[in-house]
Amino acid sequence: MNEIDGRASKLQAGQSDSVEPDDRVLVTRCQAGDSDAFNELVVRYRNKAFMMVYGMVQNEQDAWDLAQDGFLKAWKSIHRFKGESSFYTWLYRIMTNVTIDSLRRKGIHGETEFDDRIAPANVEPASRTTPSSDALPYEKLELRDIRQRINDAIGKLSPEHRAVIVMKEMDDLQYSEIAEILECSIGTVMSRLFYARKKLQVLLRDVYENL
Amino acid sequence: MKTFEEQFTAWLDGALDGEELRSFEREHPLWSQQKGDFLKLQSLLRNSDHRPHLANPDFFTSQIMDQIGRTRVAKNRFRRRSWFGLPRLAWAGLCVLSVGFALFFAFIPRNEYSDPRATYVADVLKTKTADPKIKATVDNQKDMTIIKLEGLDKLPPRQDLHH
Repeated sequence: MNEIDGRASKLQAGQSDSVEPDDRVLVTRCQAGDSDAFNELVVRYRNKAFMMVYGMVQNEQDAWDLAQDGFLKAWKSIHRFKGESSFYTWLYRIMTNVTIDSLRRKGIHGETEFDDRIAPANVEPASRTTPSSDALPYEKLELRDIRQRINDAIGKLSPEHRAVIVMKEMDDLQYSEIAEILECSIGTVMSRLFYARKKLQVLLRDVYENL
Repeated sequence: MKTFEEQFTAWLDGALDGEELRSFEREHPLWSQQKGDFLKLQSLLRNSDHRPHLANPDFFTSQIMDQIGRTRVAKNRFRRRSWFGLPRLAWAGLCVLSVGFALFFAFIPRNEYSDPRATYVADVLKTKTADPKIKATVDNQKDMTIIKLEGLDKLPPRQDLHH
């Protein structure tokens, strides 16, 4: 069974924003100190959490460590979960914060990142934002190469821009879900998506044009 | 009113319609020409899901649960070692204070006139020259105190033993 489906990981697809019954029961038991219930939640969400974190850090070992840190933080703060959002949204938020904090500690801010405050009138539609990386023009790229190029390109984004790209383009979350996870406005999410996509457009143009 | 970035993102994601859509494409023809590029980028990102699956998921889970277990053991050990937790310390302090007060009152010098009558006599003696209506003399030989009241039908309230 493929439990990893970027499309299917869309939060609460077709469901209300409230906690799923199964998750609610498990969370209640966790709050009473039942670690077996938490074990069940970990099993349920470990793949999605790992993939989300990997999407941002582009490194398996780091993603492993950060995803575990995220789950441990979730266990320690499970008593603070009030059920106002789904458990996965809450967990996703913890994972995102842990990952962003880690990236910031490593001094990763994004190369020649767009300043979100720059008025779009100053940005030409076809302008380059960074010098183009070594490209493989007019060559059919191997899948491995494509993935590496995507990893490298995402690696050039700031932590906040990586987060919105991963959540929107890979996990197919709605703007409102992303805003809830990142605890910012929908407008901020859309603005970050704009600049992140603009940057990736320049970095990956030779890749998607040669597919 | 939406900013340009919000409009562009919504337009790219197909979230603009009707007049908003027409207005955006009319006002930003150069960006409209880039739409194909952005859609190719989106397709590349979505269809080239390069993220690996979690390897050894059970080991991943067991490491987390082991860490939780170790944290709990450490917490319980701390609780056992520190028998005197905050509540117990507070009760112990209260008991010590109570014992201290009890000992203090048990060993403080007692007033030799602890008998109400003795206290009364002492008061009278103190006032023997102040109040002309009440006179008290002490006869050491007979070991008695003579209280002489003059012109009183009854003792003043403050000297009334039964008041």
